[in-house]
Amino acid sequence: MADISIKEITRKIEELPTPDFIVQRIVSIASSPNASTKELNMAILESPSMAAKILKMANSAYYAMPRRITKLSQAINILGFRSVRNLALSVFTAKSFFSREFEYFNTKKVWSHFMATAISCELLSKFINFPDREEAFLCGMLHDLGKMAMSIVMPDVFEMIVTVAKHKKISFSKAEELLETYSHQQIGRMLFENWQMSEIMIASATFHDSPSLCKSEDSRTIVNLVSVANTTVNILLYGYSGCFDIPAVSDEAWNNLGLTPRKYLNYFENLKIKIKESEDFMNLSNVLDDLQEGELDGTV
Amino acid sequence: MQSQNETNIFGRISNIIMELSKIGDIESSYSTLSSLINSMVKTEEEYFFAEKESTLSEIFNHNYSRDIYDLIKWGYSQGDISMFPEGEGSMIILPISKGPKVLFVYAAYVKLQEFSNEFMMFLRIIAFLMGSLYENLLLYNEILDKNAIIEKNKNFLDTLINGSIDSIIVYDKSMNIYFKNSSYDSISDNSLLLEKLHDINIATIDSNKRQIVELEQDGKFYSIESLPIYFEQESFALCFIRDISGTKELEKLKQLDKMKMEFLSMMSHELRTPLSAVKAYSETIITAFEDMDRDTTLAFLTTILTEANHLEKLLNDLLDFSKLELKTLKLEPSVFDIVELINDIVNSSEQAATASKVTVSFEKSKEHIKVNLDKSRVRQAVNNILQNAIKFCDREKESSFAKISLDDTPSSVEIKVEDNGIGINEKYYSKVFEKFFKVDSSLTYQVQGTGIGLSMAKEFVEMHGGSICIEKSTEGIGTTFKINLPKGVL
Repeated sequence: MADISIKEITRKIEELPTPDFIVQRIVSIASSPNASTKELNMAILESPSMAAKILKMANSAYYAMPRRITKLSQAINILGFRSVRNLALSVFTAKSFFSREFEYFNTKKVWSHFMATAISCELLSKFINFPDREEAFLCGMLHDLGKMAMSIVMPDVFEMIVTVAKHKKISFSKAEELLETYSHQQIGRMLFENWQMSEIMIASATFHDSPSLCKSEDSRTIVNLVSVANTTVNILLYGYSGCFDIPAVSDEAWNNLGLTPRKYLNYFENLKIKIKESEDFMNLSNVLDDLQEGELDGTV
Repeated sequence: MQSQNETNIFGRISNIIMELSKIGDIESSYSTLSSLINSMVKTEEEYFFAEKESTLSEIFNHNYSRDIYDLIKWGYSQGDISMFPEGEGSMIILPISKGPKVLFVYAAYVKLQEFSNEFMMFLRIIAFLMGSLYENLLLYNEILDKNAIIEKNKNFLDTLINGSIDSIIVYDKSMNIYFKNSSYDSISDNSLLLEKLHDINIATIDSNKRQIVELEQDGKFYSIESLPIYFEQESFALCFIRDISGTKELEKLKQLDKMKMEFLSMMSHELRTPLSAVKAYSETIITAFEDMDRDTTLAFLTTILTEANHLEKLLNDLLDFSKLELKTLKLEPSVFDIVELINDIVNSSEQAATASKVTVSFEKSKEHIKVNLDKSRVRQAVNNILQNAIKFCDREKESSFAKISLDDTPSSVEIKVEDNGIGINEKYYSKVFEKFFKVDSSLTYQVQGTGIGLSMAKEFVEMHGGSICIEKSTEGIGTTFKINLPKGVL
């Protein structure tokens, strides 16, 4: 596998889709304290199709809105700046990395894994009283983006890893180790560094399968959180992310988050229900399919 | 510009923390939350919803529309902060939660539809801090409630324990009083009793065994129960002290009643024996008068007279006894020589003494001692003691004696009656002077008697202002009675 040099990988990663101006602006507004609803609203409306998809997701069963949201500004006020940013990033990710299909790999299932892990992270935040639920959502949603990057940067290696994992009934990471290739964690890290994403996002992408290696105090909790949430989703949606082992929660993450069997079981049962309720939210075609033009006109 | 905002953020955070730290109870947490929100945005209406008996309801009973309720319900299940556009303004929904559990939902209507990211972040910080605080307040209230229940139970138990008429004391290993109930106060100045308690409880702790003791102290009876207990790996003695004087008094009365009945049946028997003799002898004389010679007739008549005298004596005793009981007996003092009286008594006891093979002797320190007392009562008293000595002689012994000695002091005389009879167990020393008392109800000894002799002797002596007691007595060896009589005005 060593025939691909680091230089080549770096070059190929740089060629991957990067968040465009609109997405970058949304991200920046969402983290600026004095930004207003109006500003974020304006920025998203730059892309009507993005706005429409965000609205559609905001109205999905996952949020279970007491009334239908018809305006983007309402969605921003109701869901909050950063939740809307997360939805914008999910729309961008789906469009940039999930538009193609593989014979050996079901992108719809991977997308479900992304969104389910996002949901899982947000729910776990509540259970362990972690205040930054939106950041947890985002880190969970994109933690495995390295896998999709891999499928573009080195498709044959990617195919081998998936095949090996499937046949040997081992995890994606384990298959990477067996084949002695670059790992999706490394690729993900390079990708996010290239995108200049936050420290915690990079750490989540880099260490979610090996949380004990994360040495940064600032990122440790979120890495552990993503690790537990990801493992749990791999149990509930078996094989969706290319992991075919029977996963177990990392001891270190468990202890660090102060989990107890009772608390975890409670979280697990809640997550099962939440994932079942959120099928449309996790459905790739809902994010990819372009909406009818008319549907958008009336709302914006 | 950036740094300006940061100071602003930190300034507000410290203000929020200061305000939150002043919250001391659940009520003030609602008002503090309201004032914190109002310091940032002017609210038009405010609601506080919490789950009560599994339904969401407004804590302060404010009226609310169905619409608001739906929003609150959503916030309650979602646990996230939201601003719902509502007419011209927005409804702020602020669920206060700890972990996955929403504790209560704050809702406020504001005339705003534009919110800054910062404002939403602040709401989030407030909600987060308030969640932890509120949960602690709930736990605190729970502890207070539990404490109140514990306090109530403790008071109830205290009332029970202090309401008990028994004194309850717990001693630790070093005999310090670890606990006492209020009834203990009634015995706390009885140092002799406390000393005994001390000994009993030491024994309980040392032996690790339950002890039950009854004791008499200053005319009162106490039942003491002491048992070993363990509390937090330490051993203690739990002691109950009950004043059973009342019960003892009743027991005594019952005993007295029983004794009276026994006395009655015995008295009938005592009266019947001489009466039967009188009847039998006189019948014989009447039916066989012609055939009887003079000596036989005389012997018969003498017997009749003796038995009649005996009968008379018994009846006199009974009369005296009833006078004593009714307190109608009066002393008739006269000056007489007590040495002469005792000589007289010794002589008249000769017949009985000979019959029982008892040698009666009299030692006197002076030939004449004048006293001013009721002669017949003194005679009865001394005679009763002497008769007693003769009656209870020890038939196992080779020779029996009864020794009377008389000592003279300036104001009184002391009469001692010593015998080598069967003796009296020490525990009966004071009882022998009680009415009707006979050691074991006359079943043990083949001795006749009414059981009132000694008690009458005591009454007579005491009526004269004197005293009577057993000086010493040992079972199987003998007894010495001592009478002290004031001489009276001469």
